[in-house]
Amino acid sequence: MLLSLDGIRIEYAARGGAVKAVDRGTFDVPEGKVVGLVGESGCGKTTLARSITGVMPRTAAVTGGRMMFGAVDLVRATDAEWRDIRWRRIAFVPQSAMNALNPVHRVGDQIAEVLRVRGGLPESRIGPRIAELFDMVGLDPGRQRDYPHQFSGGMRQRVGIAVALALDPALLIADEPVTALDVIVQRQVLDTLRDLQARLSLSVILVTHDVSVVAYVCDRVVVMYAGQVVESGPVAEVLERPVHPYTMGLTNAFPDLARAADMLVPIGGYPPDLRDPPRGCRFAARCPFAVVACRGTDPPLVAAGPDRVAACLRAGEAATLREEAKSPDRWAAISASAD
Amino acid sequence: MGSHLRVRGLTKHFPVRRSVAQILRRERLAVRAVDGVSFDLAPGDTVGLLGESGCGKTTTGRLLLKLETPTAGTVEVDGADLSTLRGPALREFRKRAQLVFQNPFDALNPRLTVRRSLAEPLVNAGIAAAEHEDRIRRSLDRVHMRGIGDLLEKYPHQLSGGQLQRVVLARALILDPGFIVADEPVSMLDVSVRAGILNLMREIQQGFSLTAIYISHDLALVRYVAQRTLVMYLGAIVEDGPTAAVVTAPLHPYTRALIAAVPVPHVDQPRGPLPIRGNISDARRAHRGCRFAERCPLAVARCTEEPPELREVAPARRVACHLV
Repeated sequence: MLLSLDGIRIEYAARGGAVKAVDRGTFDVPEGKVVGLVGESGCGKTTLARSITGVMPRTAAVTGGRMMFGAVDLVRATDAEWRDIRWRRIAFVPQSAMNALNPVHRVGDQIAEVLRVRGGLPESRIGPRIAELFDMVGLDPGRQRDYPHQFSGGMRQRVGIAVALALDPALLIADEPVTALDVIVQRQVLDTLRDLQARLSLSVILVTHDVSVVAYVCDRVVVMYAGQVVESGPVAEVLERPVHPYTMGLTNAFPDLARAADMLVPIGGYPPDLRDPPRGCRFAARCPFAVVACRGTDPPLVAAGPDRVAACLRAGEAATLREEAKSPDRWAAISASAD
Repeated sequence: MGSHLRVRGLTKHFPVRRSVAQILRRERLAVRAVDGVSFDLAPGDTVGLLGESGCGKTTTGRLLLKLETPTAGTVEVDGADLSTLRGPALREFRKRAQLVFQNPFDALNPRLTVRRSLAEPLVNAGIAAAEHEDRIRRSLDRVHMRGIGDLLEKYPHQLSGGQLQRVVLARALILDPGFIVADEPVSMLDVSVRAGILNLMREIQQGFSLTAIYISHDLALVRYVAQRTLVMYLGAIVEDGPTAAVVTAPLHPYTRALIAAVPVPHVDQPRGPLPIRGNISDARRAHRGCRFAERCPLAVARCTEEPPELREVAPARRVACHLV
């Protein structure tokens, strides 16, 4: 296992009490695999992903759990250990590469800086390495002297990937890397990412709200809801045969060009306030299958088949619930106007 | 009753800054945002205006609402040419045609309660105050928001994204419009909430036989709300047809590439290369032939020399391609 997260908790200091943004960050990243971290806004996916890079806002702090990267627990890593890991072993691709690039410096110079300062590359090897990186991500090496604003959105994301790959990391963390892109460009960037991942046997954590992006590029998927991992496993298993009702709801609600244009099935209600999360299952208030016990106990992540886990008291009945979950009426009981 | 729209040769060019040399050479530069768009909508039609960023779909929507002045061409709504509307006729049009904003989080004034936000269009339209309460109640009914206790006294920040978008819709519907333009109405919402809003829009459209235009870059979404789809590329309509037909049997090579690129939430999806080349070209450039030719995998010599006309190739299906 390249990276193993176990019970990570992250809190934000805020007026009116600490926000428990992540309460159960538990998942593994196997060597050479693409793991999709999926969930809706506010579920904690970005916070959790950023904690793996060790770069977090001043108000946020990891308050519990372990994050094993080889023999190092990243939660307790020293500055010296981070210097060795950040960029060289774990690299980050932000949602908008434009924000990560300095607008007044040429793109090539910015990659050179990473190679020189963080990588300690000798001057003679910097030029060829930049050309190699440009080529790898599908950019014209002749454009090294261009400024960030001269690149289109898709090309900027490619620059972001090139910067992240500069020092040959083992793990790439990409936060919504294609969200702002048009569908054709999105597909092209995803294809490049997949191609690079296979060629370099990279491990990737792809943070996204888009189930179809997960289906297109990921080997495994981790589903988060209200700060907790609620289900994870191989993509084909989790998307086609979800165990957690939230995953069922999410896949039902997702528009699908390959299926008949039936009514989409919404999930009523809204996620809980993470300053004061409910005692039981956090999805219970929106779940059409919730029973009394669900409101009393917070179900732990338990095995739900080979190589997969889920946190639902009724996980044993998943096959039956899955069929019921396809009916819009089942979900309509949760007041539609309460969203 | 829904509105009837007749759009002919609609064109909007935005001037761009020129260099001194360009001015001396008398070069006329403009972004050809909308470049000769023509179509008709019958009352109750629901149409998706589909395309990538920069294709002119949002500008087209704004021209239809008379929020922009066209460079050329005409828009007629219920027989009235928008360019001639003045005074009372213009006010009447502003009641009949409504825009649903993309981002519910800044579509409402944060300092106004839901009640005041909903009353504002009534005041502007000169509706008697005695009628307000009843109108507000009815519009909230339509978006299934009536049961919510003190909703009317709440401020936007106290509502969830889905609730906000319902209020925004209620506000757009409060004057009983005949025609709405919704610009990416759900793109800011989470997936689980989005489905509810799309279902609601469908229900409203059917219940009130509104004429509706949904502007979106996402065909998977357009499909749920629009019976007909217009595909735009670089300011022009390249394909027009019933949505189901456009999705299952696209005719224009651009539509085909667009559909091939849409990911689906299943693991067993095709992963072949896209039938398209290069990047979208500069919208300032005039095209002698087909504007898609340089990216088209099927392009022949004729495509770069002669612009293809948008012509009817089957009942209710139009396409602008020499090869169809």
